[in-house]
Amino acid sequence: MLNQLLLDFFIAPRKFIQSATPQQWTNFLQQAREHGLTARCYYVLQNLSLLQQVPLQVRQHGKSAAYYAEKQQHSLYFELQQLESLFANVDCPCLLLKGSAYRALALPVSFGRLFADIDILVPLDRIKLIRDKLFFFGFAEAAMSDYDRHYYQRWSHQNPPLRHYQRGTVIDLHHHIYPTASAKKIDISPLFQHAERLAGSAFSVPKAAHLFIHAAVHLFYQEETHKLIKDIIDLNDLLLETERQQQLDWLLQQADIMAVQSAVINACWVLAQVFNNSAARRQLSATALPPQRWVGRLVILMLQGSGFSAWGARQLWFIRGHGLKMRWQILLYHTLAKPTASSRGWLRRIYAAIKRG
Amino acid sequence: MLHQSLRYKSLILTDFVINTVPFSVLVSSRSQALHTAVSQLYPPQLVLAPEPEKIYDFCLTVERKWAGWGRPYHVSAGQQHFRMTDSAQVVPVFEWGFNWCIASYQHQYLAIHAAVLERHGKALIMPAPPGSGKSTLCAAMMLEGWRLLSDEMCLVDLTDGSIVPCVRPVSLKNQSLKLVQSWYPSAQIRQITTGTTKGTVGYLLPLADSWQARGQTATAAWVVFPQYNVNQTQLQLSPISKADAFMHLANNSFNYAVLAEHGFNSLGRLTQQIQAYRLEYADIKQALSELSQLC
Amino acid sequence: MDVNLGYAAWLAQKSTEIDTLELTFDDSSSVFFSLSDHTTCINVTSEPEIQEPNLD
Repeated sequence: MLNQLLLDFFIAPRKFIQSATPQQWTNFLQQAREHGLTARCYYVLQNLSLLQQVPLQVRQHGKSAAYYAEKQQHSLYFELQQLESLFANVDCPCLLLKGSAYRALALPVSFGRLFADIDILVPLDRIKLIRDKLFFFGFAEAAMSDYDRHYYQRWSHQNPPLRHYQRGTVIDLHHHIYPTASAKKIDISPLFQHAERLAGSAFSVPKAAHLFIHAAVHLFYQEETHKLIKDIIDLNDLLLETERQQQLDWLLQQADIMAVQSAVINACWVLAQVFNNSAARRQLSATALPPQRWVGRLVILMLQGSGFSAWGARQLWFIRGHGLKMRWQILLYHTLAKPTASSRGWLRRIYAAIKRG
Repeated sequence: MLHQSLRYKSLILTDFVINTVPFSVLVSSRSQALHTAVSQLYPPQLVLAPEPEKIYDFCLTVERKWAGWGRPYHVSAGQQHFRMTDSAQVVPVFEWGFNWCIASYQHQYLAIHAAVLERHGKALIMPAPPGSGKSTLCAAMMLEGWRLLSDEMCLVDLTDGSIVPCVRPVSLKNQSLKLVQSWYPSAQIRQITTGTTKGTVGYLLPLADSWQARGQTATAAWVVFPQYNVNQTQLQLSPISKADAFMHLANNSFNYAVLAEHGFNSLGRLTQQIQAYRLEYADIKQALSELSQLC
Repeated sequence: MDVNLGYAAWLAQKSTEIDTLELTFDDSSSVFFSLSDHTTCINVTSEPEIQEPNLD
């Protein structure tokens, strides 16, 4: 419910700006900042030629955020350019994912969209080699406990974040789009197979439909909800992009091949409910697979419910997401082993402190 | 729905606004003491009840919570937490919170860490790091009749290059509080708080003319980089090259890096129209007289 | 930077367009801004006419 104004804006920008009261604009500015969506709102208005119709104060805050987003765009391009020589020599497809891919392709979803790191997907058998090369390019992993390192290596789908010692850029190097600890086996070979190379670059980008699939998997097969509103807006924009590129039918085929139908269908159900997205409605009628309405309703409750119901939905979502991400044996091990490992470290530190006197 | 929830919230929290320009703030706080303190720092026509027809740039909440041990007051902007504090330091922490909002979200201006004062429509910009005596010098200049635009935030309009005022109470620290009061016994310094992370902090109230002209922009004319140096026997005012001035201004900017070529162009235009000097001084009276002759 | 400019187009543009902005002031000192890496520096070859310090 704390997002309602933002959501209203993205559902119907024209209607929103015509009816928003000054009090609502005050709250809107606040919400947009909290979710890092101010610049995104600015570009939505710019694309619809509505900027002149919003109050000057709102426009100026939008412009301020747009300058920041513009800087991020340059920072990403500059960083990718620094990495070209490395990735040109690894002899495997290197895919930009999520925000970096949207931005590199200049898709409308990327206009004013902020991102914290650069996500890159490489084949599993090359991830160590590429990581080691990144070390020579000034990237390093943060210090972490042995347990966390073990977790990343065995069950996660990515290397621990790599941060550049000078520029502070963070690279998330993935070998999969979903944790390998899960019982759910997602086939990501089509991502590599259909990826398109960016002209003059060593990097490739997934097809629009695959970008949508990845975003749907990220939201619907995991427990994270702290960026829910941003995730939902991304999904809506990505589905519209998939439609623009005439990949809607192909999207359903790909969801089937990759074994991610439920994420795609559930995402479409939510988009049809929240945004009345026509492409989403079309997808729902084009497939025999019914959406899991309770899953979609949980998402809508988290987005639009009152304090208590949204809280309840978040708890259920958390349990569901963890259950999907890890097979129960691993989840149980993780639940017990993580506190044990950290308390062991804690005891060791106390012991060392006593010994030091 | 949200509107209703905020209304509900306002039944519990006292809302008031500070109508400063170019940024205003809506404050939700249960602490009557904060409202009283703010009323001492800002003129009465700026501290008001929220008006339904106005948009406020920032929202700050100052709330007492259970969590926080000895520092139960939480200052935050919505879900974004700024700092916790005990009741004795609520006022400076609130002021820093307001600064934090401005510093984080003002990229429609090129923002330089500098004091700005004006005479005859022309602005004197004094960028300097903490410890250079900038605030003390700025306070003294205002009390000598210069109009204050800001004691630490020089906002340059990216479209027309004008200097936009951001009038707020002048934050003075430690020794500077005593000095300013001893030089100007009529200076009104309020809300002196000891033991903050920056030592003792107090606020010098801007004079009426500075408050009244708070929306009036000025044209950049001089940039002086001040450095207080107790061993400086003779005041030195040395001209510096514009390229040097440009680089120093860029290094003192909060958002030159974010604004990239827009920042470069804006700062270039500003540097083109100013004269730049380095000022080293030990005696404030000498510094004031020198700046008065220069400008 | 134009929001419609993708990475590939940026790379192509970089190789053909001017990469550095230069600004020369009326005292003939000047500064550079690199559009490529966003760094700013003084043009050390320019020689500003520094006046004698104004001592009194």
